[in-house]
Amino acid sequence: MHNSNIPPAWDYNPSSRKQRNHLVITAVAGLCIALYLGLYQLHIFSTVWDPFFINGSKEVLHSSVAKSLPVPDAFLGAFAYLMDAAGAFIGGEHRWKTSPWMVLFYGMVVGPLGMISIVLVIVQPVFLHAWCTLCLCSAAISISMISPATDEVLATLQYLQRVKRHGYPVWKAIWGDEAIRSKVQ
Amino acid sequence: MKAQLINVIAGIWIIAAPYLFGFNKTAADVNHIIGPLVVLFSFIALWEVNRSARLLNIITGICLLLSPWVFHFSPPFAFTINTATGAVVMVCSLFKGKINHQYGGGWLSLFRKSPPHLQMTDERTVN
Repeated sequence: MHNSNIPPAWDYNPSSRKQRNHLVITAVAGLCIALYLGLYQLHIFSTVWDPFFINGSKEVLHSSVAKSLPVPDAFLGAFAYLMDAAGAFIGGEHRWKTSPWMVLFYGMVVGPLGMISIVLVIVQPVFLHAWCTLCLCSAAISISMISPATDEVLATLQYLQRVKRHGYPVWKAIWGDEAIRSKVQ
Repeated sequence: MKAQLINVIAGIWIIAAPYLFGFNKTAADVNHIIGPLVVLFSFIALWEVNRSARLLNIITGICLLLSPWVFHFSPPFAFTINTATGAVVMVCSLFKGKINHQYGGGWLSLFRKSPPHLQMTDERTVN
């Protein structure tokens, strides 16, 4: 009974495969879009698909904002999506407790990626006066991953809170210390 | 949850309105900054575990409501759109809706002395 993967005072396990599989698929979809846009920014593709804003995608993706970094900004997004996909995939069904570092790292990738996406959505009309359909799709994908990912982070933080209240070192618990895990539920 | 869905739509509406009604540049910029934030907060709040994120839309709602008084807005219809939508966003953000699952006390548990998840484990230890 006490070995259950469901955190105390929860009624489901946020680390279960069922909870995480769709996040892997979503992140891979985001990765594909970001890679496609990045290849366009590198001029490997000469045109970019955009059914709504005829010149918008071109203006946004070849804008000064998009070129402000040494690599096309879409590739940074692609890297974050890759981290997201890996972060959602790796680890067992009790990782909220066995690998807190992994869950915390995952949360630290998903959260900021969503925030940066929203900033980029604001930049498009305000500074570039143009919209880009696939950029908006990518932003929608990244904000749709925030909430489904954060329940696991909450379960982990609550576990670490219990570790602290019981007087065990939190730092050790973050790396999945087994002795602590056997004493704190 | 329905209230948050309304706010997602309200956010998209706020972003689209400057194109539909030909807002001046300042008014359009205001809407293009606040609109995505309204969508972000209400979208995150669609999930029970982060339902509290809806409260951030009280701030964006007030900003929308007051924006025509602070900045120059034209045409006059823009004034009506922003005040009305701001009011809708604010009111909808107050509705919590049903919470069907348990989350060990939620995010607030992390700041409480005796949250549900700790009470439960303490009971188990005593038994």
